[in-house]
Order: sequence, then C-alpha cells, then structure tokens
Amino acid sequence: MWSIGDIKINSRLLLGTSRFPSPLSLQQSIARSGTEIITVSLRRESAMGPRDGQRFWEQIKDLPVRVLPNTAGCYSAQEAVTTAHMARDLFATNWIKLEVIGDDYTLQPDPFGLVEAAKQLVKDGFEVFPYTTDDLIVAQRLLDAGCRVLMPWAAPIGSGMGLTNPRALELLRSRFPQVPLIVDAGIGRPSHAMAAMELGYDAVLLNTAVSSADDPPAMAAAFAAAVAFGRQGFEAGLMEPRSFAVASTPMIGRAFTPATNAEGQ
Amino acid sequence: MSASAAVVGAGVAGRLLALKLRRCGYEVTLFDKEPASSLAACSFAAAGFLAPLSEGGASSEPLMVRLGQRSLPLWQDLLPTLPLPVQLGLKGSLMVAHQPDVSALQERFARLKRRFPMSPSEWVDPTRISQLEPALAESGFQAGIYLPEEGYIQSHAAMHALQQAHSNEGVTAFYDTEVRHVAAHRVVTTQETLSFDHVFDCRGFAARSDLKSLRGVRGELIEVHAPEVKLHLPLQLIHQRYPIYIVPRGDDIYAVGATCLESESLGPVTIKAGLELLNAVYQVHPGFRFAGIHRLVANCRPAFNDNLPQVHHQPGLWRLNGLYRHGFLLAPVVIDLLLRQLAGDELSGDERGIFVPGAN
Repeated sequence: MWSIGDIKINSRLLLGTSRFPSPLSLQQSIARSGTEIITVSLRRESAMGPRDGQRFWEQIKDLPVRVLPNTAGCYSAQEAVTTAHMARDLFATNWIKLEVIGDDYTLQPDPFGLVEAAKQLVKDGFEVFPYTTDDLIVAQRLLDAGCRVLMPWAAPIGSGMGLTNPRALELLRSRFPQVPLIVDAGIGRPSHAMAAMELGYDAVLLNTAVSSADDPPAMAAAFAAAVAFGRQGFEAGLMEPRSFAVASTPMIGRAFTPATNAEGQ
Repeated sequence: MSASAAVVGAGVAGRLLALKLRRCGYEVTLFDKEPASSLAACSFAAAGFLAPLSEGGASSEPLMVRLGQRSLPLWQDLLPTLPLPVQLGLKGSLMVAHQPDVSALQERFARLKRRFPMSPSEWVDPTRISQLEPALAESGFQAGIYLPEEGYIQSHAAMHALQQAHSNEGVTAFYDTEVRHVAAHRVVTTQETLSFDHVFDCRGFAARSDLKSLRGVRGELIEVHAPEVKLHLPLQLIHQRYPIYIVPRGDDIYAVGATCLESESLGPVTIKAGLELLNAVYQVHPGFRFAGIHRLVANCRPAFNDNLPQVHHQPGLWRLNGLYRHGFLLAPVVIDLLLRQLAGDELSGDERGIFVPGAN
C-alpha cells in the first residue's frame, strides 16, 4: 500500500493508454495489469470528446480505475496550464500529470516550463504529478513549487531503454525518502520495471512497452508480476553487492575435504 | 420471382455488396442519404491503401491481416468486370525511414518476420529503394521495407465504377433518401415503409444508434496534386512523430493520410493535423513542395471495440460494420464471407468469427 495525498493505492503499476491496437486490447491490458491508475492524454482535438459523450471516452470513464489526465503534447507552461484546467472539467479530478515538452524529437521535458506550470497549477488546487528528468535540483524546485509526488524518467518516452542513469534515480530516492517517486517513461521490459522497484521507487508508469507488445494483455500481466516482485525484494532488504566472494556454505562437516586455502578466506 | 434485397448505405461496402447481390440474382435496391454525386461517405476519405501487413502488422489482430491478405485477388477478379477503368497497384508497397528512424524501422521488420513469417518482406537499402521506386533516388532515405504483396486501389475510381455498374446492371438506387429505420425485412424512409426478403445495413458510423458498441475514429486525409512527383508504389513514411502514407490516386493526385484520433468529431481538418501531414509529405520528395492542395477530408471510421469487422445477423437482417481504417481492404473479403454464409456454405472457424448472431 502506498499513497498520494489521502488516496491509498495498492497497485504500484500505472498504465498509459496511448497506441493500443484497440480499445478491447486496452481494457484487457488494464485488467491484467491490476493497475488502479491510468493516464489519459488530453489532446485538444479530442477534448470535445467526453463533453460530446463519445464512446471511447465513455468507456475510459467507466473503467474501475482512477484517471490521471496528462498534458502530453504541450510545449509551454501556459499551454499545459490551459490543458490541465480543461482536463479537470472533463474528468472531474484535480490530478494532473504535468508534461511540458522541450524538444519535439526526444520529447525531453522542459524543466523551466515545468516548474513554472507546476507553481501555477498547485496554486489552482491541482495534485500535480510532474514528468521530469532525473535532475536533483529540478526535483527540489518542483517540491518547492508544491508538488507532493515526482515522476522522473528512466529514459526518453517510448525509448524502452530502461534505467539509463540508475545512480541519479538512487540519489533522488535517498534525498527524498518521504516523497512518492514514480519512474515514468523509458521502461521497455519487465526487468526494467523490477529494477526501478528494487531501487525503492513507489511505482512505475509505462505505456509503450505494453501497448506495442505482440500481446499487450500478456505483457501487462508480466509487468504486474515484475513490479510486485521488485517491490517485495526491496521490502525484504536487498543485499549489497560486494567485490569479493563470501562463502554461503558452512565449513562444518567437510572433514573429508582435503585442506585448501580456497574456501572462505 | 427472384428474392429482393435492400442495401442501406452506399459506401464501399454497400456499393460492392449491392453489385454482388445483383450478380447473384437478387432484385437489389440501394439507399443512401446523400446525393449520388456526394463525396460525404467515409469511403471517400480513404486512400485505397491495400496494406494488410504494413498498416496492420505493427499492432493489429492477426485475423485482420489474414482477411486483408485475401483482398487483393478479390479486387483483381472484380475490377475487369466493371464498366469504368480502375487502377489496381499490385507491385507492392514500400516503408521508408530517414536515419533517426531506422531503428524503429528495424523493429517493424523484426516484428513482421516474427509475427508473419510466411508473408514476404524485404529489407531494402538506398540502392534497392531507388530501383523499386526511381522517384525516390534523391530522397535520402536510409532504409526501407518492401512488401511485394501489398498494393493500392484507386478508391474514388472504384466508387464511381461500382455506381456505374449498378445502373448498367439494374440495381435500383435511391440516393438522397433518408432512411429512418433499418429492421428485419423492412426499410423505413421518411416517405414510406418498404419490405424486402433481406435487408443489409451498411451505413457505417450512421448505424451507431442500432449498434451500441460501434464508435467513430476520426481520420484526416489530404489530397495533393503533384505533377512533379512520379510515385508508383504506395509509400509509408516511418517517423517518430508524423507517420504518414502516400498513395497514388492517378492523374498526379496523391492521397496523404491519415490521422487516427479517438474522437467522433466530424469537424473540418484541424490546422495541426494539416500541418503534420503536409510537413511530412513535404520532406518525402521535393516535388511535393509546389504541389497543390486538392482536398482536405475529415471523417469518422466506424469501429467496434476490437477494431475488427462484424456482421450482426438475424433472419431478414444483416448489419455489416466496423471496417475501421480498412474499408477497401476488408470490404471484398467480408462481403464474400457474408454471401457464402447467406448461401449456406460452410465457413472456417476464423471466417465465422466475424459473424455475430442476433442483430437488433
């Protein structure tokens, strides 16, 4: 169990809803991922959607999960703020995944626009989930702005590269032990998600790794298992790697072994 | 006396079905709410790209690919029997990428090989690209995938040729006729209630009040007139942000498409969509730079939850719908299956999968 504000959450997997082969595949993937939070990109073109009672949006709203609307595709603080307000009206939630993109090709977040938009949205009463890089100072500024959760990337969106800079993610975890931290973007394989959980992250958010799989619902199940086991491992207390061998077998009862210097020295 | 059939909706599915039924000996009446000259049907927003693998292979259901692969031969059989010429491109299709997107292209290729190992596909380098499509000799594409069994149909020409065949062969067509209700053995227009032995509902998105699970998926397409470009193969550009395809329409017209949005809006093409499509096509060939924008089209494709076609049926009523982005690709094969089902032929399990008993 973990929480964001007063909201208690069991599943540590958040799922994005873009680019699934069909709504059916998306619904099955959500079910098999066990997720309780899905992100939904609020594109301006489809913003008329929920208002018009259109079917895809009705289906999304009817799912038994919390919707975390997302300001994907916004390139300035102002645009993100406008989109966030629109999302609040449409989805009746004060949660917002804040994305302010600085570069079209890599979709790298713009930290300056991000902090600016976060300040405004916190003032406006939003629970802001900022999608950020793994930079410690940007993270600090976002917390200063009033964010209560951080979502650093593992690697660029959709790249599937995994944890490209685990040291930076570790540093964030150790500096902000009380802040819910969610690795967002760059997760390509279940082992990546597990690695993030083993670092002590509270959750992971992913999309493409599931939606682009040959069998998305099966991949969603694989991620659910990886996230759960990674967390279980973290909570159980992981051993630290050492640069030398340590015998795991006791020496007692080995009287008949010829004496050597090899073991346990 | 021969059996009577009503077909409601004159998109590609309705037109093709009406003709096929007529050729099976039915007395066929076709209804459409638009005038005969209208381009409002979703089928006129199609590019006519017959690409089961490159369009569908990325993420689609294998069933869609298997059905789609039967489409080309069906069009090939039909077109020579139509009274107007319709060009069918049978020389394959090409997916191409610039340097930054080559890894995405490689992934597509690996996936094609993994999922559809029996379907031919070829990895091509710049030399081979310019052999296959001389117009791309100077294009600077780093790599591509050639899919020899794909192609295209001149979709507008096909629509007109089907319409002409109707009048030549005695299909009674009521265009500009609003149909209020489509039920078993009955078609209710604003004027009267008509009875038929069989009613076929091919209204697409307009049937959504009768097919609760149907939704609209908005698509936007641009037709450009580019006499300086001589593309022979339909082309798909693999691009991180702006994937597009370009399909020759004949007379130096190219269809550039298509966006795919979960929206049921029928509003005009947005500036954003227009810019994305045009920006991408601009980079494919210098000849597109001074091409004229011929037509901007937006429409809603009818789709079910799994994006696969369905035929809902009960005695006296068949509702064929959900062709999604694949009207020209899937209409021939779905209609073929429907007619075989109607004739009482035994279908395979795969084929039976598209039939849903109990149309309402």
